[in-house]
Amino acid sequence: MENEKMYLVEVYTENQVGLLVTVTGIFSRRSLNIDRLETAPTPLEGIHVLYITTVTTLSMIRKVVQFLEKKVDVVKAFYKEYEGEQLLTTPHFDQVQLATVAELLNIE
Amino acid sequence: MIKGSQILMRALQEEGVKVIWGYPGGQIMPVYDALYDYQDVFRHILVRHEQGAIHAAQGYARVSGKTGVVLVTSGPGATNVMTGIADAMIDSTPVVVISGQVGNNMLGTDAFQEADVIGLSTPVTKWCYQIRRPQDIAPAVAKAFYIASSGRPGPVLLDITRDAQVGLAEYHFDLCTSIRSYRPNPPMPEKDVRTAAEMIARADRPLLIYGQGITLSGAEDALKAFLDKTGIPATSTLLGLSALPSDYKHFIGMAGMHGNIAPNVMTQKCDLLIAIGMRFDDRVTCKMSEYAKQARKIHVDIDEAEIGKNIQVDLGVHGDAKAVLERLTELVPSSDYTEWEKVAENCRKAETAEVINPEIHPTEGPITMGEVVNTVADIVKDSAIVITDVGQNQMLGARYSRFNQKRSLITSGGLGTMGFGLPAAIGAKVARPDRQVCLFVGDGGLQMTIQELGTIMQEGIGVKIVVLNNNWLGNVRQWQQLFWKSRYSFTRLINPDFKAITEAYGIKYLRVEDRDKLAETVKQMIEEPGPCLLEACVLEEGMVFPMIAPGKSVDDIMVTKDKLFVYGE
Repeated sequence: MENEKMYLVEVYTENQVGLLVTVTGIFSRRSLNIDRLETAPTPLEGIHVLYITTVTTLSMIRKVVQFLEKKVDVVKAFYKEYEGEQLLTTPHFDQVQLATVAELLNIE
Repeated sequence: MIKGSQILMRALQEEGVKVIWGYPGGQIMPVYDALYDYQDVFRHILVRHEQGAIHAAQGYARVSGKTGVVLVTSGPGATNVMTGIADAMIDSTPVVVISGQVGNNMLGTDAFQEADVIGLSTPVTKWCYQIRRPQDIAPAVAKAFYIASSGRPGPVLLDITRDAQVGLAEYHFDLCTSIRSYRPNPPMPEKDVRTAAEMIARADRPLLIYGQGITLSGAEDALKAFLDKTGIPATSTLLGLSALPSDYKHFIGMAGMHGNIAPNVMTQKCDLLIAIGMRFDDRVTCKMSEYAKQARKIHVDIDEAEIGKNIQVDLGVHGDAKAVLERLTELVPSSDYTEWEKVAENCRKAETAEVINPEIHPTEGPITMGEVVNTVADIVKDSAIVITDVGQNQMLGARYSRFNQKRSLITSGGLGTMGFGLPAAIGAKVARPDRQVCLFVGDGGLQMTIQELGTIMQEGIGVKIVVLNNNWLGNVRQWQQLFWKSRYSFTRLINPDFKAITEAYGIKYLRVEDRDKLAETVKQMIEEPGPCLLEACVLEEGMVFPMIAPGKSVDDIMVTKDKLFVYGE
């Protein structure tokens, strides 16, 4: 059996009504419990980020990221192992991720 | 300024829509009123139930390659199309569903005929969107058609509130050709294609398995060119059928639970499995942990999330089937796998003797389902568009139909929706009035959407309906017999008088019970200029074999209820 770990998934999306349901549905359909969830606008215009932590296997979290990126309004999703006790109450943006997302969106 | 409902009409016209499948109701009335002035632009077909509309749109889309369009009212109108939307999602079918919605200030109040249609459709659509302002209609329509038809196609739902329908706005339409968060067309994965070509060149026993991705990508000719050059044997999933002609020399049949023996046996003997435009459905792989585990695997798909989803592969190629196949054909050497293809020949001989001949050429007893399907294929000379419902009719319809043209088998593969067949056949015939469209349907599935005989009557749609009547829910009965100790729990059907029903709709009815009348009755049906329903009274406890029992490996093949296939015997 593959080891389960806590992962942080960071999902960059268009700011559309109902997108949270789309994203969380991908977790719930696969019986993944969301431990913590936070959303915030990013410095990129119209783009929001969702921070989600869940405990699962590496192979599942990779699939989840692919299913997330398949959604029309999702620009990009990242995952990493997460050891923090709590989610970020004041988001400090990952500049590498932001640059990747900006490049995908052709934002200068 | 014009009304939102008029904007919708003009936007649909810009998208080249010719046919709309629909059913009016309270909250879509402004759109229906606008449609009254567009009757020379659109052929609106009034179905008898919204489920009929969506399945007809699916049949239309899959035969024509164009996006199907459905128009329904709020609440029950929208909930009634959900089954078909889920079906279109799993079978990658481009449809745009437009539903009416209550007024903006009524949203969330449990108003009459209000349902949370966005909430309901989110998990089963490629994209869905609620439009609350008239000026948002044209861009949303453009986006909907772009999303539905690009990349891996799928269903899109637009929920238009009454305010958006009746409000005024300037008309301005731009085709949608890109969305910044959506990348449906992956660039040519040149490096991976080169690796694939090297893997193919090194293989001794390669096997290619393809799915509907070939059809969706328009890669039929590219696939054939690749196989012509390499000589690699090829098998199809259920939805891939008809992408290659049935008599094509390297085609070895359908894979999966009720597939041909050869592809299933060769899946477990090959040293390289090349999967293109398919998704390793469990009805194809059977026991996943045993599936082709001896082979290296290449998976080509336009949907990156499919690669590695069910089956781990050695090489994923994220790309369009046609583009990848064309490039691969340039890179691979010509080769010859005559020895390896002999496995297919041996399996085919065994299957013909043990399964096919007893099913399609029986000499005594009632006529069989496979016999009827085979007779239809003979009479139409392999040229019909075959539609199936779900169950034994579907498996036998797929197994014993033969195809000489592409886009000729339409069936509910992923969702397995009983009741799909009749409306899908209507959609197929409207898309291709020049071709014979023949439906195989069971007595159970027919009655799930039998009301669409009314649509056939009103529109004079010349579909041929073959009811394989065994007075059972045959597929479930087969499982009960094989795996549930013949405890036939609620699978016996007491059926109505299909002749009376058919004739009440003014549709020509034929019936056949005797083997010596079968060919002439089928011929009579095919020659009938309009719609015709043929009730074939078939062997009641007919079975579909070969069969791989649930939980078994793909080469653990039952050829009869108490005999397993053993290669080489």
